[in-house]
Amino acid sequence: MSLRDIIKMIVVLTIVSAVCGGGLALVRISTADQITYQKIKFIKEPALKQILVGYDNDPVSDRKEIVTGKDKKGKDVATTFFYAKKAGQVITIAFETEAPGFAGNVGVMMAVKPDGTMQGVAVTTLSETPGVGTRVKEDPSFCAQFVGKPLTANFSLGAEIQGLSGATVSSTAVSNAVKSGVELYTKHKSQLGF
Amino acid sequence: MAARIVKEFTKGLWKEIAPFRFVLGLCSVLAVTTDVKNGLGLGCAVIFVTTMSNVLVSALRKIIPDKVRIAVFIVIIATGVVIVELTMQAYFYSLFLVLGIWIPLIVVNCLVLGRAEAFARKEGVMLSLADGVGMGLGFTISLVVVATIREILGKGTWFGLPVMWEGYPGFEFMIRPVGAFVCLGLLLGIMNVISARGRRKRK
Repeated sequence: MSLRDIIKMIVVLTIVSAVCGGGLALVRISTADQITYQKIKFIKEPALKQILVGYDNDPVSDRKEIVTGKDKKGKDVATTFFYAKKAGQVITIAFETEAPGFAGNVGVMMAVKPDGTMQGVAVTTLSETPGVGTRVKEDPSFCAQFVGKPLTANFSLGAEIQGLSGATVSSTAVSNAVKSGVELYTKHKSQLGF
Repeated sequence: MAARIVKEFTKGLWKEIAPFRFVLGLCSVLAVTTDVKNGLGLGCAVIFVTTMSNVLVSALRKIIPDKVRIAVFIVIIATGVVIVELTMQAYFYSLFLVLGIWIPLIVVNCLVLGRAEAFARKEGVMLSLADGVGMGLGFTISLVVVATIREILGKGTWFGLPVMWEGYPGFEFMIRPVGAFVCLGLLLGIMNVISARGRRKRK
């Protein structure tokens, strides 16, 4: 094999790979927004639908990311806030928080009205013991306890909220998630812009 | 030329329909055909990939050195597959969730590489285009046929619509992987019988 052949092979393979790579980068950039939208829509929308009422926009596209903290490596952590609007007026803001439960973190989607009352709480992700800890998600009366309370209320178990008997750890996780959510909301309220 | 294009296109639909005649690309035929929607989704993805890879391979056939041709083919095919994957994720997310790993696995579907190696490498762009679309369409037809049989017998629905009588219990065997093998085997047999009859008549 002559040197010429070898160089030709290298050149052709490099050019083909580079062009393909560049093309893929373009496709990726042009679909990135739509993919994030679809992911949020399929994963978060069911919980949003549960707790948001009376809105006429699409909260999944009316979303805003706000840096709310830093992780262990010092990277910014952003929380996504979903705006439910009616006739252009923000009526509820929903966002997701989490707290450690019996097995892994329990994710909670909570919705807050601008006047500072709780519109609703829904459990999104959990890996608690089936039939025991999962009741915090399955039993609607548990999450219903949060509805309509002012954010200043004490959301600890035993105070304003009654835990599910037998699922104390999971109930505490939901209550902790809500408490940290309230804290987060109060802290970043000015950045939400409504 | 036009006759040749038609010939290359239609051969993929019956005479050389890939999964049944060459038993190519079987993993996906067996795996995703539990319902028609998935079969059709994967079929469309394969049509796009075979067409794209055939056209590009054929257009580049004079400059691709023989020794690295397989590497170049794979790069081209993988590009097509990733385009499909991203597009599907962006616009058909529920289908993407169901098909999951089978989309990236199109890269190693021997049908696609087989067409590049056996056809597009030697023929012109128009012929390769016809061949790619035809072969992809044949593959889709096979998927839909297998999926139709499995979904109707297994779940009593077609494309999610109920077609059997009310209270049809569902022949669960057909939804299981075994059902896919049995179904494919029977189809292969039927096709061979039909072809053998055709040959005898011509004699």
